[in-house]
Amino acid sequence: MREETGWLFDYYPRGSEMVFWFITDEHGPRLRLAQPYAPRCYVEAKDSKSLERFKMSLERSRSFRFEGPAREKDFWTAKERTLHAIQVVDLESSYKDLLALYRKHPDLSYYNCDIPFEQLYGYQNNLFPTALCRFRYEGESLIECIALEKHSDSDYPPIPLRVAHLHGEGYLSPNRAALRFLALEMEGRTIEWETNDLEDTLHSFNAYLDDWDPDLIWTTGGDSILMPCLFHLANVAGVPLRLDREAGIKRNLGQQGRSYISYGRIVYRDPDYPLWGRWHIDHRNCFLDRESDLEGLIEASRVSRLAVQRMARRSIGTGISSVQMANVSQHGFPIPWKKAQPEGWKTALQLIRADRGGMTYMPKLGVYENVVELDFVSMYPSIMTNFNISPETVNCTCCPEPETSVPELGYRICDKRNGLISGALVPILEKRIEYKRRMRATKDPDEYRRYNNRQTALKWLLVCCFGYLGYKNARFGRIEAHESICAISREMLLRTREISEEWGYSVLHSLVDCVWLKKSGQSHEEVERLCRAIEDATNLPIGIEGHYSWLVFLSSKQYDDLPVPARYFGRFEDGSMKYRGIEIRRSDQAPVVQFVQGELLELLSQADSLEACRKLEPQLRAIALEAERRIVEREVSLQDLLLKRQLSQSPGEYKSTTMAATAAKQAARLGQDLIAGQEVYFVVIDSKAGNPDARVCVVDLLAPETDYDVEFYLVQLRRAVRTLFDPLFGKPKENTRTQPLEASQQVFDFH
Amino acid sequence: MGRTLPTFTRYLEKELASWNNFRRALSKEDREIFDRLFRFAKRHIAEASHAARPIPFDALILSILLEQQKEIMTLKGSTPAMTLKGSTPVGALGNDRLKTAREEKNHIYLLPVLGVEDVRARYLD
Repeated sequence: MREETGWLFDYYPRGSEMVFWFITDEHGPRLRLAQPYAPRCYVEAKDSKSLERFKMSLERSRSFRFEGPAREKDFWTAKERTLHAIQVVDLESSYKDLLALYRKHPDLSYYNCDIPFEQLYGYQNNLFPTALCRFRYEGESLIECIALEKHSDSDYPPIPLRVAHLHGEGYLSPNRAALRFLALEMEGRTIEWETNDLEDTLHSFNAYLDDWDPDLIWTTGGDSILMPCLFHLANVAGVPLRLDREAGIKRNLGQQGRSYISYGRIVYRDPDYPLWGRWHIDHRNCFLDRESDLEGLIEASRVSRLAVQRMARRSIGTGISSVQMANVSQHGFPIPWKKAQPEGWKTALQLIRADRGGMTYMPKLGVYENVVELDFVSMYPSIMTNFNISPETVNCTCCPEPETSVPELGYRICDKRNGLISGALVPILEKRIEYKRRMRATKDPDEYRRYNNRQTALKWLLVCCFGYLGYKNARFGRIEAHESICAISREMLLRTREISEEWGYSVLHSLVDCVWLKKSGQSHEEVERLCRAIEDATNLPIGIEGHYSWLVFLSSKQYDDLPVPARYFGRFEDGSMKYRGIEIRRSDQAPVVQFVQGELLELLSQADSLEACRKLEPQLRAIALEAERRIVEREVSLQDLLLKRQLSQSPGEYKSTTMAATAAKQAARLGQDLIAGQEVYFVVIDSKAGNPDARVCVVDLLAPETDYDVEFYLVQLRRAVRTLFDPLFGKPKENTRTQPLEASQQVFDFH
Repeated sequence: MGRTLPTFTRYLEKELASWNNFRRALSKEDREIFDRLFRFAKRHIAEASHAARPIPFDALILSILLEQQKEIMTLKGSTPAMTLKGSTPVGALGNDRLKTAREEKNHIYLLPVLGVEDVRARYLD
């Protein structure tokens, strides 16, 4: 028997075993160990008859074996009751069998059975991906593995990975695949293949994979094209690829992703091509990589106990669900599968009171100096933990007359239990505060970036936890808890406004969890004292986001007397700018417009007062004028004129002739298989042309000599420039309406 | 977005749409004033929503009255609560007032907005 220390790189179920990959040092071979694993699931039956029927079906199933009755605690009531234990004997086929069982016996309640087994193993054995472990093994079997770190630790040595990048160019359609070019790059070495002889290429590729043996393979578009293309070609050539370290993996070679609706928007997701025993992460199919780099992805994976490749591809909601399940499981509760908590009855008036979100005020329009912005720190998660708001504590069955209840709604909050779902957030909240503290303390830019990446990943987990309470499919969702959090947030924002006004501040704007306050002659110390007073009154942490040298609250684009929330730009006293809702932040704007607005903001960041802003006016106008000249003289590259639109349906379904629809149809004619949620890029050629096809040109059809619509882009540019200039320097005179450009503005206003 | 009840913003849109026949019958000048009233109401969406009244129209009317009272006080020359020392609210007080404030301080930088023709004339010809 041997004992070693190393990082737990990855673990997953295979047959009736868990397979583990360990990294013991940067250069050595990776260690594969296996351990039998037969986790226990539970069912609850209403009567013995339905249990007998269930047992009969179970005998025919390959994956499960009936064990017998077991006393277990119920998550919702914390009371013990009798469940029936089932052993999982085949890990890989169990989910399919479970679905069949559920279809036949929907009247039973199921526990623990649908959770990916590596997660369940992690909860039960206190393990998580990339944990540093002490492990004992005999031959190829793992005997024991004990984590030397906790998932809540904020100081952990990064796992030493061999990182490779895989590039390729190819073509893929449902019945044909071709590869033009393939390159593997690792630690400064690059191998390129011409791919004339496919079989040779694949053999050589395999040889390099074996030799270099990377742990992580990055791709751009690997999930959508490169991996399915490679696997498809390997099938055709009869050369099994060595991308997986695990032998004998079979996969379905699907190419089509999925479209689904999230927050009222259609989202497209690529298909998945994870590897076994190695990581494949696609830059284009990984939200956390975009937001917080590999550092953040690993952080989220450790905290949520979700395998790294799963964390990379799934939504943040999957991560926060796993954080919650881990806490529930570790407190000795079996994890319920289908939710058995329906929404309670309400009267219409109660519904009107309860079904509301946070408060979104309208700002007082104008330009200001002496403004300070205060933000509550992670407001919704803090409400959950500080007020014990959790799905099992709101309107619990054990406290008919508790000490605390929710303002406005009167929901009862349990006195006896500390919420497990809210409690799961405490380590994340604390860890994030710790990372932010280190960011402020450090002078090393690498360290700063690392902590920033980690805290950003945690921020997304926290952001998501509140929404999941109101999501009807969430395992621990409970709409009353969701409503309670909103009600408390409204109450606390009102208190904040009241206190600030008492202290002599004018509240210019407030938005769910932040307020903008104005008072001449305010000092940093005084605002700090104000924050403490607010904290006393609200029981929630609040901090100073920053002092503004000047700040502009913008009106709506259509009416200059109509305020809109969260559309502003301003300069902090440290010289940094903050802007929301203006063109530079909007994804529907052409890059050239955003560059110019960025340039203007950059210059404005030098001005430490409104007076100084006005002094910069000639320089600012010169920048804008120069940009107009470049557009008119066609000096702008087509790349900088590309507009991006997300498709709300497939190209064939569009009946309208909007620019996006036309561009999508052009792409479809080129043989591109676009579906809803994917993006289309195009340049406006002649917005007033009678034929919609002549108005825009999709990116793939652009030629160097393609000419663009000067007038259209000038209007776009001017709109972005005026967003900044009008409030600072006043609107141009009223006769603008008679000018040709202004009149045509409505014609191609395509918002 | 998974809500059971419409938000106050959505309610305002629907309410405005339900007055479409009334609005159409108005003269052009009156129609502009009518639209302005609804924009008054939009300034107090947070407050109206917080009132959570069974009949939201009440909150709409009160919001409009509030803004009208503000205008009355401004016209009478008494200071409405929203004017702040040291700031120059744009739009909220109307453009004219802003302009006079600017002209007094000699800060008129109003360049005419150039049309394509102007730019062409300046750079190309």
